[in-house]
Amino acid sequence: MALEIVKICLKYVSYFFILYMLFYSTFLFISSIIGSITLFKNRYKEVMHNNIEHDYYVPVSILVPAYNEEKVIRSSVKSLLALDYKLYEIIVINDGSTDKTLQCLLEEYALTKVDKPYNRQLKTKKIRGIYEGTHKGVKITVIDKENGGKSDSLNAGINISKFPYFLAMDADSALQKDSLELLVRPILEDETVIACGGFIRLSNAVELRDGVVQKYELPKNILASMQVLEYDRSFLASRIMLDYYNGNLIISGAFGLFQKEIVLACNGYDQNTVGEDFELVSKMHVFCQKNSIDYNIRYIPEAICWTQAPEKLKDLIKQRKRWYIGLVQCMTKYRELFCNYHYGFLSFISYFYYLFFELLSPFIEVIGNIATIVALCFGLLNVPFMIIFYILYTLFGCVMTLTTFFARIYLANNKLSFKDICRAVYLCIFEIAFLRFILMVARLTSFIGYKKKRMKWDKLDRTELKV
Amino acid sequence: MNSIAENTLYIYLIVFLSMLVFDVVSILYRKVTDKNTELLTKKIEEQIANKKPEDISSDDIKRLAKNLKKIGYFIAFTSAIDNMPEDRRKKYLTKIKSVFREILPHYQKEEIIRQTYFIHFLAQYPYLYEENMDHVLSYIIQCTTKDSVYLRENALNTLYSIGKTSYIKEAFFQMNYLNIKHHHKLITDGLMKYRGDTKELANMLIEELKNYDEDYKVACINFFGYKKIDCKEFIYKILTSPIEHKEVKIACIRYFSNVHYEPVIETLYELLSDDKNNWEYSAIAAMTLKKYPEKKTLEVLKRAVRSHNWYVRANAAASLIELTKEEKRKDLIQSIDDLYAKEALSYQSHLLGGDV
Repeated sequence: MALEIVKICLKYVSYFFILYMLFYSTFLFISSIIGSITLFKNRYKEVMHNNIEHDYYVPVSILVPAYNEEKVIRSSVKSLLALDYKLYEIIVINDGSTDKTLQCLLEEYALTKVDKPYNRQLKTKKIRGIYEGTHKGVKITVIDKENGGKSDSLNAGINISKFPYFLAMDADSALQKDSLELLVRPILEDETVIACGGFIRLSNAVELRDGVVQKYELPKNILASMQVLEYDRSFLASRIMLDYYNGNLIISGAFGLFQKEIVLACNGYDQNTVGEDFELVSKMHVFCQKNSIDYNIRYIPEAICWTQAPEKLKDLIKQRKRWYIGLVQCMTKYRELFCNYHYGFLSFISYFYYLFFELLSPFIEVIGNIATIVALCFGLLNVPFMIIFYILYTLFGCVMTLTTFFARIYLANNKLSFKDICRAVYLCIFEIAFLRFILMVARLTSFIGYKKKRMKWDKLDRTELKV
Repeated sequence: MNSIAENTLYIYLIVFLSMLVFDVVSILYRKVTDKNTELLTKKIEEQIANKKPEDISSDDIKRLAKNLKKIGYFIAFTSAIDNMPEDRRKKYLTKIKSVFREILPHYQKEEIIRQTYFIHFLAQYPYLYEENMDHVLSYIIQCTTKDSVYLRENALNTLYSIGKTSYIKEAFFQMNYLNIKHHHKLITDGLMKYRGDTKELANMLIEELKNYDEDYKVACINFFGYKKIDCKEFIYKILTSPIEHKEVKIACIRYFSNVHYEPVIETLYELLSDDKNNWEYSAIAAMTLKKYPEKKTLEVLKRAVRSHNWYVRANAAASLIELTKEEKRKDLIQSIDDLYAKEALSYQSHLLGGDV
């Protein structure tokens, strides 16, 4: 009798899994194809002068929240000063750093303290001082404030910024010379664009000089290399497809351009979440749809921001746990997007994707593994089928990863050595077979000690950027 | 069920493998085509260099037209033309300009991306349109109403570079008639690049402005301001019209900071005072008033610097400080009893290098 029950349970579990994997593979399949085609099409458009070439675009305030970033802040600001863009200001928000982040900036750019009045439109922690100066014709402002987290810092930056658009980026990131211009173009193409996200790439083995890539190779560190492949897959596959129907629920906090007016109308960044980037974009979607505002949130894969990948497993796990907690917070906060026909594709594709293939996936994978073990114990497992299925699935993942990886190489016109090509091929197997599993465990355990860690900065080991 | 899953994965795997092959082949293909384009460009450069423009025969033109229908050849041709010295290029292109009439029907039928490329090329050489190019021109005007913003922008750029008012009039008429949205900043910047008689263009736009929708009106008024076109009464009428769109009126206020007009001062005072109902007007009026240094302006700005609206306060402070002599700024700041106003004035004074 018990065996019969187990059999029936396992039968339905296996049906569920087959359907789940089919849906997942189909989603990845379609999104990767769309992603690759879009990249080729965009490249073709560029060659054919299908773009807006302009001397003056809209003015932009660049917000760089920083907490204990003394190692990278100089190089980050240096990369911003090399931007090929006519009108912008740089605002670094020092969120109560305990290291020399503030001193580094004050010395490097000879900034002076000012009693600057600002529009307190968003509530933030107390501002201790504002420093200003000009370097190479670009205004640099440093806000020194009490520690309040990344969202709080960005809100302070919004209050002080003077331009109608702002770019939010991380202090450990660097932009290419043309990144800002490429990110701003959609605003001139379509006035309903309220936010644009760019492509985050990993800078661990990259050398930038004056905003131009001088040397590109896969990082020597295996963990960082695997993340390069992972980033290419996730950014170039799903985000490009979601962009087709204005369905991106996230613009990475490391590189996102926003229309200030709408962000203010949405009350800025939420200070009670660690996934402030996901939260803001979801909020903007809901706000615009509820208020019948014609809007567009775009993803521009050609606009590139270089950021550092954690090279230690401990740091990577810490980072992913934080991302996962942010995901859970936002998905629960905006649960009205679930199965809500008012939101159309945003609800039935985007939200479903994040719910089933991101948020619930670690749990589903654990259940799957348990079911496999139980089936094996009861002698109910079709072992040859399972082996073939897993091999096939791994191969499928590898080929998909390599497809997006090479599509990106093509798009960015990077030259890759034969050695790196071989490394990409075998590392994608490791990434799918091992890293994926480790990150699944990390996500599963992310809520352990969650409340204590809440709102703290995610500090990882940094090295100075080569700019 | 199992076999369905297995077969589906096999299919996906095959498609992905094909895509991977496609990626690799594309990378290699690009390398080869880049090299081919380079070689072809050199070849075209040599051909052009070896033949004087006056020796170009109708057969040569026919052959060129045939080749230019191939996009790869067109790209190499463009590079070759780009590399030529200006006077030689002008002579050469003028001699072969019938080629573009000939290939026009071909590119009209091509996909939008290629049409845009064709127009982009034509935009760079306005002397091609001096005569016998009506067909090409009417096609370019037609392109300003197409869905692709790039095609529209390239077509408009061609018209700006030709510098004939009648073409701009026709294009704007069609764009407005068909309710084509084109960013006002693109239009203003385009008008600024106009190579013909700016005054004539401005007169035409003033005459036609009433027929345009808000975005085009804003773009034109901004253009009048940047170019300091003297149409003060006309802009003043729009500003005081009770039915005009807000953005248009704001553009009008900005115009008066570039072009001086005494009668507008009272209106600016009124707009500045109305910061509770229309703070946007008040904020821009506060900024514009620094160009009107009257005694009353100082009084009005002193009141405005106490405004509850942050933008009005900030702009009024900036204007007030600019209108106050350096040695009197300190007294001014001390005479104000509002803390926020003091803060705003002190900062503006600091920006201008004052000792506060």
